Amino acid sequence: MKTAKLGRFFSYHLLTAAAGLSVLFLLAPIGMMIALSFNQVIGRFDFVWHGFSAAAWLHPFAVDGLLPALEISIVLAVIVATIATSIGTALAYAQVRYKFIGSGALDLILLLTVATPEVIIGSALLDLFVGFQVETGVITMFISHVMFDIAFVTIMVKSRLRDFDITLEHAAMDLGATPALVFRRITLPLIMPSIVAAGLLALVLSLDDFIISMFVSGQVVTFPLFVWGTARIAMPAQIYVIGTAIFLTLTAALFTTFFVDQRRARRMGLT
Amino acid sequence: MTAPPVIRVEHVAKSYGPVTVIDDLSLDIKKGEFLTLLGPSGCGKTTTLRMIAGFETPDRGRILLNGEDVSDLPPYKRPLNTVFQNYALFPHMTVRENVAFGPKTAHVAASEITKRVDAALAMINMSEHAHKRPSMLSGGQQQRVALARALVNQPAALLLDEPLSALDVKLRRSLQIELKRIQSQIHTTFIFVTHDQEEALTMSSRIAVMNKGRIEQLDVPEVIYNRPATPFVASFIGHANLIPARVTAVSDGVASLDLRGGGTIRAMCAADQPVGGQALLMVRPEQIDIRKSEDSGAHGFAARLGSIDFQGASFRYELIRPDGSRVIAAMQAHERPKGAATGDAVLASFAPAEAWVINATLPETTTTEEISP
Repeated sequence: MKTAKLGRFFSYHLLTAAAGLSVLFLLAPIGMMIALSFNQVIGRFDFVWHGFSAAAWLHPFAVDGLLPALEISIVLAVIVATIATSIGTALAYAQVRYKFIGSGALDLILLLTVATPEVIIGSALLDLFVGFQVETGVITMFISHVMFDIAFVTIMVKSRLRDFDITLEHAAMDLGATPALVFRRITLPLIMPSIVAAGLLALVLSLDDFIISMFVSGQVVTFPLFVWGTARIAMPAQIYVIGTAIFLTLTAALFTTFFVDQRRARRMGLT
Repeated sequence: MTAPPVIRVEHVAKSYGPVTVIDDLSLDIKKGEFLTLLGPSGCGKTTTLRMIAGFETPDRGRILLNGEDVSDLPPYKRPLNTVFQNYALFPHMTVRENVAFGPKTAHVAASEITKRVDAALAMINMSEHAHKRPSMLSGGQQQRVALARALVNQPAALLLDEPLSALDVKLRRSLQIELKRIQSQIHTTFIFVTHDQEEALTMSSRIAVMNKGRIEQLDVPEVIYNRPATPFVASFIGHANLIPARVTAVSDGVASLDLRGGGTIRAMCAADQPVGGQALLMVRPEQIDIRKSEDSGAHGFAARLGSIDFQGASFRYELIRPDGSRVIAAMQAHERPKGAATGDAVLASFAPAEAWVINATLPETTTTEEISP
């Protein structure tokens, strides 16, 4: 009896300790990033702690080329996410609601897009652009980002649509609503949470894409490309400041959507 | 002379792949009637309703609404409304918004919408719940809102797809009464789908009993119950004893029968009942009166008492006929034969006016039990 108790004691505390260590492991790089954004930098590389300083936070764009790179990244990510989310949602809706030839093939293509290593996709895209004599730059990057984002959005929205009670659409149609109105008044509001979540994911994926952008960016420098380029000659604290700011913004966005969703679900009795 | 039907279903057929769901079905629905499509699951009753609503298109045949062919119109172009089995209320809208959805879609003026929604909510006693979300309502309340949401559009006919089957028995009874009250108030044509024969008998002005994609009989509840046209109808509605017999004579709608396994009796029959052929005698358990076998003046057939089961208000008797076939009788507790015991020879007596001849034979191997749903 006693050994069983002891076993339970150990398994419980061992589990807690393992969980704690895992969380620590996940948070360590983020904590490091936040800490180093407040570092007093001596020399060109912000790698060693020299003491607290808010200098980088007060002058976040005091590094040449950082602001333009960030601007390009943000503008690109917002446009890409908006377009990819619209197309992905439409694709998901078509796949779930209608039977059409090639729907199964589309599933496979979406899965392949997600599963294929980015290096392969990146080089293939570059081949394609060179082959068609398209000059690499903002446009090619836009096309590439939309391409891989669509796959993620479609897969996410589709899983939500599959659970959607189709009799709600039938009821609306029965009450005189045309298919377009049914989508706008019934389907869209009800699947909005998953569209927002998919949109956020699309935004993040575009914002920090490095490998594919590396191949197709041409002369354009996005934030991840800027960090890569700079890191070989210097590592200013400002990069950690921007990283922290992006992290905090996205965390806030995620929490907001999460809580809005929870409230909505409670009111609709979906929980 | 007679008013044209609100809805006419004309030689409609529908298959899903190799499975025929509806097989040449025709049906006229009169204005203001409460018509029930009754049958076991898979008989095609819901498919018929969905074709009338526009959610399914018939492979063959036509559906006419007030004389106009609507077979190819989508649901949103048909002036019909449906109450769904699972309510299908919009979870992101309040009760009021749900009910107002139809009129809003039809671009009814805002003041008129308010008036109509208020009236619809008052009709189902839900006015004080207007601001609530469907999730805050009970199942019965949700189904009433679904009813109001459909009726507020003043449809040419209301289609109800097993609307009460998700509710518990007590609630179902009270909603049956409410539905009937509302129907008699507003005189809208109701087309009601159910597999519950009691519900059908209570509520309908006419019942269409469906089996395997066809209508076996369409008539008022009393006729369906007392004068079933086929063995299926007899067995699906309540319990029916079906005894194979030969018709020896017919006069004035009364047939004389020789029962298989012994006995000569009389029963009501159709005017065109042929003489000399095989038929089935149908007699309901509650119409059989168990008497002592010496009571030779009474009309009936001989049997031996089998098992006797107490069922509260009534007793259920199993009667074994000389050929070994079994017949069920049900008698009210105060009418039961005192002192009767298993094994006693008795007379299963009934009035000829309460028995009915079905002009059909049972397939060789089927028993009454097997053709019951």
